Amino acid sequence: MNEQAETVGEIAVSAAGWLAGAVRPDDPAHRSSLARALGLAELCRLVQPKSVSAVADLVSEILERITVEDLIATELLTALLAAAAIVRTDAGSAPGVFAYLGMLEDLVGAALDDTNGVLARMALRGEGAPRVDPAEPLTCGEAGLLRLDGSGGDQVFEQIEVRSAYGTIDARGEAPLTLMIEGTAMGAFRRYDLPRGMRALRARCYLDPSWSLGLESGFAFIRTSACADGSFGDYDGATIALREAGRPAELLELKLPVTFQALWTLAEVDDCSFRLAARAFPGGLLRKGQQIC
Amino acid sequence: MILVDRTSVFGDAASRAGFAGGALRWLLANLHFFDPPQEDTVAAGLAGDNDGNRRRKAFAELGALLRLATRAPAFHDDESVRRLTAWWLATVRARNFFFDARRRDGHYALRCVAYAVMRSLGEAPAATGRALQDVLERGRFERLERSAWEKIDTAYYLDAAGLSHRLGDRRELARASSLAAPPSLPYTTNHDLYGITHLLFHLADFGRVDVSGVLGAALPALRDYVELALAMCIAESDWDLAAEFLICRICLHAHGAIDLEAGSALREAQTSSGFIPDRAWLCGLAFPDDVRGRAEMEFFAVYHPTIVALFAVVCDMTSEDRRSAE
Repeated sequence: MNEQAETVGEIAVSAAGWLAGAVRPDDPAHRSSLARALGLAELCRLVQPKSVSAVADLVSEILERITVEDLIATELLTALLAAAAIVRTDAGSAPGVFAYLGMLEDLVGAALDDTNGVLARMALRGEGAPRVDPAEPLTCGEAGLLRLDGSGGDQVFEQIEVRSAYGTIDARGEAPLTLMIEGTAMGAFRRYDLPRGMRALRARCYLDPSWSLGLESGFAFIRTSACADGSFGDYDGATIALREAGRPAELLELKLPVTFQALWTLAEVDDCSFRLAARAFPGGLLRKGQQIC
Repeated sequence: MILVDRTSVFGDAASRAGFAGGALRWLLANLHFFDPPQEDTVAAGLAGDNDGNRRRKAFAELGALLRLATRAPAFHDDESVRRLTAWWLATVRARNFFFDARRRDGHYALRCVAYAVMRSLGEAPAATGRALQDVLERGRFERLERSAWEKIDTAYYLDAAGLSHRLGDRRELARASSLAAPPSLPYTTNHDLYGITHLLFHLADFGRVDVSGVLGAALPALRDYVELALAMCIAESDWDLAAEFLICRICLHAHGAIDLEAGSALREAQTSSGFIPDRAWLCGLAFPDDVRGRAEMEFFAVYHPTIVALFAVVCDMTSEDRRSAE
């Protein structure tokens, strides 16, 4: 891990430093990473404003090149964070981004209460209230779904993200649900399934942010997954395995989403007042956009 | 959450009986796989007898279950358990399990387990006990390089066999073991976890001994660790370790919603033929084509979680008896 980064804020600055050196916006091979890089830069800024200086040049270059198509090709949260950066800086692509956001609203306006629907409403209009009563506790029946075989765990995490509006609304889980989620995180980390383990830890915090052995162990695991350059995850062996399997992958493509998730998770576990979905889109992008327009 | 009115981690006594009954029926239907080598033959004494070794181990583990069963009269008096006990005692004699014990000391630890089983059943031949004690007094077995885990495990069965030894003080061994500072769960291997569970089984004598004095200040953190490890094993559908950590929870006199979840998950995992599957079985074993080979491979993949689940049943019953007495 990066010996210099002690606090989550320092980890954000380190991650920003890695990002600035790892992404070359003029390199065609990095084209598909522009939106993710911009989303991560925005996350670093939200976690630690001092990280802005490390990525200022990179962000300027990305803003010159990024298009709506880049946003569409990226997972929703990252795309929305990138859009927020574009809207905030009133970059040249902002009009196109507003068109994208308007289209997104049309798509999710009548959307069901899935994670994307809740997230989009929070980002676009600052309205994240789920249509499910968050006071209704998730029960041990759902805990049964957490067994790793199959996709049951993902269903549980999705329910928690929706009911709690990504941790911005109180939601409850009946015992032993929170413990089972911690157990799922530990198991995922044992298999080096970082995205699943980190999603489980965030879901655990949305139900109950109080400190526990599971949170402490998971937090320490993620922290020690930080590399000396500020990125997260050890994928040297994985990239060789992928290449030998005929599926070559750029290290950057593997590390960008993992570094994003690691910083997001560390920030939310470390400080229960930091909830990315609320912090990133105060008031909603479209309201802000309409004012700008 | 503390469950004040808990009767059984398996839901209720009837559910527990049904679960145990299925597992016992499966054991009875598969006794031939537990059958150890005929020890008074030349072949049985040869090194590298892998098939013989795994049968000896399975046989000794079945015996360890029957030994523990003597602590739960309702379980011990069950017709299936009586039949298992009768078969085990007949087999340990018929196979001459302690044959040439002073010279053929390669299976010494398993023989001590078997002798402890016979002792608990009131069937231990004194001459065998003297032979086992002779081997100990040669000044080798108890001086071998061993971890605190191995020492505590070994000492437990030597004590149960009534053999005197110098493997060390339990409190000091516990402090030198991984219980004092358990390995961080996200990095653990299953081997690390079996170290934790076995240390607790044997220090606590499966719930009979209060470990608070031995573990001291490490106990509260260890309770949290075992609880989280149990949740992790349930999440991983690792029923062997889940049952072992459930036993550890009982050994630590801890009761909560996670224990009911574990009991319920074990019942759900039980197959229609009665065994409890392990991870390898769930992931799909590469079975050989022949029927006998397939049955044998399946047996050795699943007998251990099935026996451990029955250990959990017995511990659950004895813990219930203890609470009633209190």
